[in-house]
Amino acid sequence: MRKTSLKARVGLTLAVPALVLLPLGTFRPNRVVRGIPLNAATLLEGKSLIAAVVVLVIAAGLYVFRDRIRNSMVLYVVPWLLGFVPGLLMLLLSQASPAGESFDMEVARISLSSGFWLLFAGILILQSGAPRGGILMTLTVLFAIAVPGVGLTPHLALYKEFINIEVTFYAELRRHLTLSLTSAAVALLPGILLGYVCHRHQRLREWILGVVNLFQVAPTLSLLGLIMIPLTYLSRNVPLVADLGIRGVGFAPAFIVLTLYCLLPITANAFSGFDQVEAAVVDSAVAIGMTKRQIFRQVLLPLALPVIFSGIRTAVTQNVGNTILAGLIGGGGMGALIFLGLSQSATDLVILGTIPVVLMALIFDVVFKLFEDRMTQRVGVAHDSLDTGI
Amino acid sequence: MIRLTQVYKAYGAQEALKGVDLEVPEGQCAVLIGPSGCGKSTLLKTINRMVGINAGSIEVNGKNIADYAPELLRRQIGYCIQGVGLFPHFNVHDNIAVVPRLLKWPESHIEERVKALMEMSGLPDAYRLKKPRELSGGEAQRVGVCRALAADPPVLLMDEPFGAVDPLTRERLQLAFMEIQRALRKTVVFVTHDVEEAILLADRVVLMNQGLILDAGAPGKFAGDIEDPFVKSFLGSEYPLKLLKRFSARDLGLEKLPEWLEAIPESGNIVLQSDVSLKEVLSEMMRLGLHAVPIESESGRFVRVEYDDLANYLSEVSKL
Repeated sequence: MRKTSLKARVGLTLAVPALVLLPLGTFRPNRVVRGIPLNAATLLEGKSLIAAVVVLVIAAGLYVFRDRIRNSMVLYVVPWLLGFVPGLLMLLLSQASPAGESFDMEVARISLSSGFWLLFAGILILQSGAPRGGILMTLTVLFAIAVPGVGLTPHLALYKEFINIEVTFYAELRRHLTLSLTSAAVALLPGILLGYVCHRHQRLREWILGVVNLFQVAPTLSLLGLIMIPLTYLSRNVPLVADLGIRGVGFAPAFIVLTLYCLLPITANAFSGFDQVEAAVVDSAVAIGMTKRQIFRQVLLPLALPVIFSGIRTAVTQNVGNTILAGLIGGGGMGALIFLGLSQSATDLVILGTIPVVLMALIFDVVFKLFEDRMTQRVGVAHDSLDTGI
Repeated sequence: MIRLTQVYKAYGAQEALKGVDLEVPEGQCAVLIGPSGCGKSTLLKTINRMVGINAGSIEVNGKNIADYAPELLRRQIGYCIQGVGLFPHFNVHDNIAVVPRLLKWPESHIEERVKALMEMSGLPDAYRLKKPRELSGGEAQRVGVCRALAADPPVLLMDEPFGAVDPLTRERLQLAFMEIQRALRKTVVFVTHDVEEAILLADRVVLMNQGLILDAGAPGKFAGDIEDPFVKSFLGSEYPLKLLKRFSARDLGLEKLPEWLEAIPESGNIVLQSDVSLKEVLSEMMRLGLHAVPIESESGRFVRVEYDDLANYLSEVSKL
């Protein structure tokens, strides 16, 4: 209960000042002009709208401090109502224009500003503490995506950028997914095997973990640079490599670096997964007459699987983020959009590229976590005969 | 039957076994006992090749163990350890069925076998689908014994199997094991550091120290004079008293003893039956402050058991 109301308080202290003090959007007459900030006061025309917002803020306040007052069940509606706010706000922003002037709405656009994002974050944090918070947050985000998604916000800068590059957007998204998932998948088998070797051979352990760790601490960018050198050399001197389409830039180096990056979480988790299997269990597997392969497949692997899986989860979520860097060396993915946006100072394009990455990372995290929990349940905790007594 | 001849094992400079000879006849239970680090566990593990030996030879049922692939050898030897080592992701049935499955028994046969074993070891049928974590320590230990017995191996190795449970459970498990052993007559090598456990379960107590067998014999043997000072101090001065627990009043040959002619003493207890241990008989004498107590024999006679009968029996046993 305590923690819940803390989350709600943090959310509220983020959301209210964002709403009141910061600009929620920026009106730009065209793509490159600086633009005019739009804050809540200019946005909320009409008394009924202002009244609705005031009521909602007060309700949120009551909800957050509900443990100090009479804790009414009605208040639990508040987090659900707040879920509509980001989507509706986008709707409002899309229709807004500064008073007194007229613009060509073909090129004019409204960017979402700091106030909007902070408000959004504050609402999500507040919701995270509510009952069924996970579902609530998901619905809020889905609603916020759906509103521009069905074309209700034609003047939103994000929407305009999206329409401009729609075809490329999906292509890069697919490429991003392919790149991050396949490179993680390729790291899977060697990662688990290396973890097994670490578990079996104490002497090799330090070496393997050391090298794997090295990939992890080396900055991704410099690793990309390093891998480009041998690949360029190979593609120039070995015809087969060139025939395969491998060059110093593009898909290949990005793929290799991402695979190397996935090795550490998978290897380290596989090792500790195998290592946490009780010695008595492995001993009795040996004594019973299982072969090494049978022990690995029937005992070690299933018992280590939840821990290995958590390594895979780390690898995949981290990989989704790291894949952005592939954009730098022509590997494609959302990074291509982001760096394009950066080079054109088109913040909206950068954000458009970032949002799917964040969402993908979150989705993978949640989905893998579900698998992991199910596996942990099936395997159960290690049996400790000393603890159970009679 | 198990025969070890001049078995030698060293870990680097550390000699774990310094030439051990041991023979366990078929159907007998040999209990290896000694202080920690004496090599008893190592010796046990050489028999199923969990520990390789440097010199000497080991025969199981007349065949040198070096002639088998280790996995095939181990499937013919039941093995049971402290902490059980049950597979936490298997349920009770699957845990017991591991070795029969390795041996590719037909599944229907396995089903029957598991059922029979669970019944024999006093586990309710409803436990078949439980996971090890849902069992108490004693129950898990029973499952461990079942698993060791599952493929009906002629030889059973047990490494302090009842070491990790509380005394009450341990006694129950020991009794259950004795019953099973009486019925199945496996060739058993059992490691313990508990003298009382050795007395209770052993056909032959094997005393080890520093990688050597110091002495071996029926449990009664050590109630008499012991020359070796280490053996004497390890077994303790209470050894004869502990030994009494192994035998029951029946072993005295109650029918030969004279009738109890006096009034039955008022002790608040019912009269001792023929299946009480000699330790209980002695306790009863001490409680009543008498040199003799009445015991009801199997034919319903009240016979007179005197303190001297106990003392004579012990000295008789120690000479066997």
